[in-house]
Amino acid sequence: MQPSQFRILYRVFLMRVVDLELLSKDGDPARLLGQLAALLAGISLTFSLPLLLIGRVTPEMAAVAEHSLLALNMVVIGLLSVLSWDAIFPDRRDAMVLSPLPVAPRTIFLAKAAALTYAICLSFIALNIFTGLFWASCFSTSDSLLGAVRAIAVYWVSNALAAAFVFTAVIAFQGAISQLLPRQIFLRLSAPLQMGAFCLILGIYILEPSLESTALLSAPVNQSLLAFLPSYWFYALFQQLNGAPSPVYAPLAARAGAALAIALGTAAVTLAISFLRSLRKIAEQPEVLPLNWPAKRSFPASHSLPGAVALFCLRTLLRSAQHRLVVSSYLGGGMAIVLVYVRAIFFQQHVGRAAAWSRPGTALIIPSLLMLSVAIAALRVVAALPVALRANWIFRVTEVHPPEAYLVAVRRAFLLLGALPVYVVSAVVFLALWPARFALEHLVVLALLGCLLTEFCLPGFHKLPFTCSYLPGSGNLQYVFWVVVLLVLPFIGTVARFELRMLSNPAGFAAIVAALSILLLLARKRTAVVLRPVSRMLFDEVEPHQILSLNLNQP
Amino acid sequence: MLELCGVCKRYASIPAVENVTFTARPGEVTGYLGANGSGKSTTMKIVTGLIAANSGEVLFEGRPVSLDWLAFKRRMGYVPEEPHLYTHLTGLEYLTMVAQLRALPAKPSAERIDGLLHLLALHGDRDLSISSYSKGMRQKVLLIAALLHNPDLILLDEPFSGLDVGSSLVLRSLIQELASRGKVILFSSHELETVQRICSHVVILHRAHVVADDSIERLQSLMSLSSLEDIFSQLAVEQDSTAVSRQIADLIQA
Repeated sequence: MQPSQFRILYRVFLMRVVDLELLSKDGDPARLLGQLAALLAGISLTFSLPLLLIGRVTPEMAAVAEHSLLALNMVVIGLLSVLSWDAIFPDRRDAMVLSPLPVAPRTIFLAKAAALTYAICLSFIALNIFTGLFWASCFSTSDSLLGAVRAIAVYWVSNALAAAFVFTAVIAFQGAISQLLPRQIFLRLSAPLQMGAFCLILGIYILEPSLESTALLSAPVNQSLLAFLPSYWFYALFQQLNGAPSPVYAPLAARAGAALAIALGTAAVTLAISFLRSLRKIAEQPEVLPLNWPAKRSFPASHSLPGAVALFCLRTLLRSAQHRLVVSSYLGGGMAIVLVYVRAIFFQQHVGRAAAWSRPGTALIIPSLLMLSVAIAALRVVAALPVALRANWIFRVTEVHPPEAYLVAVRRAFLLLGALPVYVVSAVVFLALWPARFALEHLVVLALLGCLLTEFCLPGFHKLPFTCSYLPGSGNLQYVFWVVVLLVLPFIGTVARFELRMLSNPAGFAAIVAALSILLLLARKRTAVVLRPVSRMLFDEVEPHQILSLNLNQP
Repeated sequence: MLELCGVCKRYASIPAVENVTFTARPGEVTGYLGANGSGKSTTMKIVTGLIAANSGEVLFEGRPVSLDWLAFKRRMGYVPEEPHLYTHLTGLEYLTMVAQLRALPAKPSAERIDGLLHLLALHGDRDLSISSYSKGMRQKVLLIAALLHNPDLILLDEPFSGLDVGSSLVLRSLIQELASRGKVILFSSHELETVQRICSHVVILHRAHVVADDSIERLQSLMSLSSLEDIFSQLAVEQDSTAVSRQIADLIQA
């Protein structure tokens, strides 16, 4: 292996670990990773603040905190591994570009592995930078300094092993399926699998019950559940390494070791096979092929500009891995928050659960509002990312309509692909669970809100989705995350409570519908006003001027 | 009639095209020639509206196209130099999308696409992703997309690129046939033999400037040269090709 080849490839692959949407300006991977590390360190500080405020913790609190931090590490590293789904295994681009060059597959593999491992390790350290010091020192079984040092060391080791397990398990899962299935079928299934893994990791994190005490861990009734909850395996490993005397931890800790060994081994074998055997095969075979549905001929029902735009958007979302990934991330995040809201109903006793589902309440209103907002926001964000930028000339030379016609087409595409799927699912859920009147009233409100949110996305978006160039770094993820957590979620909660109050009487419902209708009309008017000076659609995003003239030389 | 009057395009202070003026008439194929980087594709892009000229004007049928770009684009077909396509779509999906974008009526355009796919031997591959197409197949998709709406002005930038012999012969005849039906055709190519065969009028560009604009016969008689290749070599080629090739061979063996 040539060190220079490794260094160059390492840098290239590091750029590809996290998606383009997150890239900092100038595509600088150091800045990108810095942003990510800052975000994770912020989460670490947030988790440490309660401890800094209360000072000391009881052993029971410490046990819950240790398990929570282990689970947090596993979910964050798991999600990052799923987001870097395409970063570790060789793809067509690697095969086409690197195969003709005198670069050994081993070098490509090592560079990819090093880039991904670096990003994951950095994330892990950032996520534990405060908790790994403040909380870890509280997990000591003795009051001595040596005990605290040991607890900190054990904390880092057990959390690192837990993170390594999740990371390698994701690679092993992907690698095993990629080797078992023909490549084209794997590529077709890759996006649903990625989204499934995303939801599974989040779902386990949010829905797993609290079983930290030795009594609960040893209870026979919990053993089948514990077999599927890896965070408790590594929690037991932590307790064992930390010198906890209870024998209840031994079998779970052994399971953690075995699971880590299996995940590591499978990941290593599948990676080796992929790089040594599959690289040439990838170059020979085409990528995802469109499905040959019998009904495809009749699919483009509307032979119009909105039809063309909607179909182009749909096909891009279905077939472009990068765009699917961004949408999956948004929807997965939304689903996680939805699970938090419906978790309370899940854990109710059987008798109470049926009543809780059928009683109109915010536990279902908030998820529907949230998913509607997330779906529209995801589509708005992903629509700004171009697919095959250099192919957009066809939209330019066929720009035979005025901008207003394109606005109508984009609005319809956003409504069809962003709002409608959530709306249909919500309609099924609400009509099945709630009394008809409440369900219909909420669906009317949801429809108006969908139109309103779509309208909010349109001013300034004088583009056709997926066709305009994109300036990276404008996502500002590190700020957006905190804005969503601190402002958007409480706001949605307030809106849901307000809506519930208004739905309980006809006058309130009429008032809310009237208010939303007026808002929608005003929003549409604003969109039209903003569009008025635009004479042509935008295909090249321009950098905002860095230097503003103050015109001081003017009289 | 397509007229370019004093068209200039500069990148920073470097001229891509400088004071380009010529006319392409209906019923004739206008060959647009020049070495790499001479400004041919830039001119084509200015005419299509893909890039804006710094100065000068493009007129179609006597009217500046900038007055009504939408109307002009409805009557223009364009085959670009590079076959950049949305490769996640199939050939049929791409062409249907182009028809939809141009607001062509559904049934006739579907029949037209089907017919053109048959005639260009692409029908069997219409449901395959464009990512699996060869360069020649992509070129055929571009050609169909450019002709789908029966344009009055056809801009062809290296249209023979990647085509097999059979398809090249069809395209050569097609260009002449379309010209005979009154279309305005501006045709850019490096294949001088093809240009000599199908073009009645050539414009030669050298270092961003038009250095010749006349019929091939007149240029031959004026310059006392027998072929278009000789004319082009004299006007637009500055280097001794034999000497350069010898230097290249020497360099890679050194």
